Amino acid sequence: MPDLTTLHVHLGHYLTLSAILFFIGVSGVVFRRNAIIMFMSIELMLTAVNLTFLAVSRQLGDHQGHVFVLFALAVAAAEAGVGLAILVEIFKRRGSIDVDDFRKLME
Amino acid sequence: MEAVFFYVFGTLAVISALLTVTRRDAVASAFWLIFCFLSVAALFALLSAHFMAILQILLYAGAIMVFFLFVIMFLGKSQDRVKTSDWRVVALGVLSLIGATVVLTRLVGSTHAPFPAVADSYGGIEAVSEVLLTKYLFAFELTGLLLTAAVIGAVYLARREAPGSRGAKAPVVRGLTSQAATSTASSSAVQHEDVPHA
Repeated sequence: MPDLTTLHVHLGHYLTLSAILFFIGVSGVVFRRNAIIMFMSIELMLTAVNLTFLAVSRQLGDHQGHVFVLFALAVAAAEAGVGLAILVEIFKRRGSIDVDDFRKLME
Repeated sequence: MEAVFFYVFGTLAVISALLTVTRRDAVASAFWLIFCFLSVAALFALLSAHFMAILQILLYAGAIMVFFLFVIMFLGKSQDRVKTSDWRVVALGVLSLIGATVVLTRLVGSTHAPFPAVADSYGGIEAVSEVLLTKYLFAFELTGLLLTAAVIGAVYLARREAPGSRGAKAPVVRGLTSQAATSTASSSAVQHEDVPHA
C-alpha cells in the first residue's frame, strides 16, 4: 500500500487515458457498420475530449475547460437528437441501419 | 489514494469502451457505454470537476443513453447482422490506432509535475457559472439557439410520418409517391440548413 499512496497522477496520465478512449471511439466508427453503434462511438470520442478539457483546466487552475465541456454536452445532445431522428426516418424508408446498405441504395 | 482511484476507474472506462465497440448486440453495447460514462464521471470528480461529473451522469449516462436505448428498442432486432471489414484492414487499422496512441502518449506524457492545489470551490456550480455567464455569455445564448434548432429539426422529422399526414405512409396513390420523394429532398435540405446554426 505505501507504493500506491505515494504514486502521483499528473496531466500526462489523464491525456493518455483520454487518447486511448478517443481511439477506441475512432475504431468503433471505422470498423462497425451499425449506424447506432457508430453514433455511440462518436459519443465516446466526445467524452474523451471532455476528459482532456477538464484535465488541462485542472492543470491551469481555471474554469474555461468546464465551460467548453458544457458546450460539448449541449452539442452532443443536439447531435444525438437530430441524428437519431434521421436514423429512424431512414430505417422506416429503407428497413436497415447498415451504413453499407445506404451507400448501395443511394446510387 | 488518488492514483488508486485513477487506475481503477481508468481501467474500467477502457474495458467498457472496448466492450462497447465490440459487442454484437446494440443493447449490450449501449449498456457498456453507460458504464463507461459512469467511470468517466468518476474521473471528472477526481479532477475536482464536481459539477461536470454530475452533468455527465445526468445528461450522458441518463438522458442521452436513454434516448439511444429507446431508438434501439424502437428499431427492433433487425440490425443483428454484424459484418466488419476484411480482417487485414482491421488488423492494419488496429495496429495504426495503437501506434497513434503510443505516439500521442510520448508527446503528451512528458509533463511530470503534479496538479497544482486549487480552492475548495473549484469546479462547483458557482465557479463554473460565473465564467459561463460573464465571459462566455454570447456562446451560451448561441447554445440555446442550437438546441432550439435541434428541437425544430427533430420535430419536423418526426411529424412527417404522423398517421394523418401524406408522407411515405400512403404509397398506394401514384401522385403521392412523388410527394414522398419531394419531402425526402426537403428534409435533407433542412439538415444542411442546420449546419450554419451550429
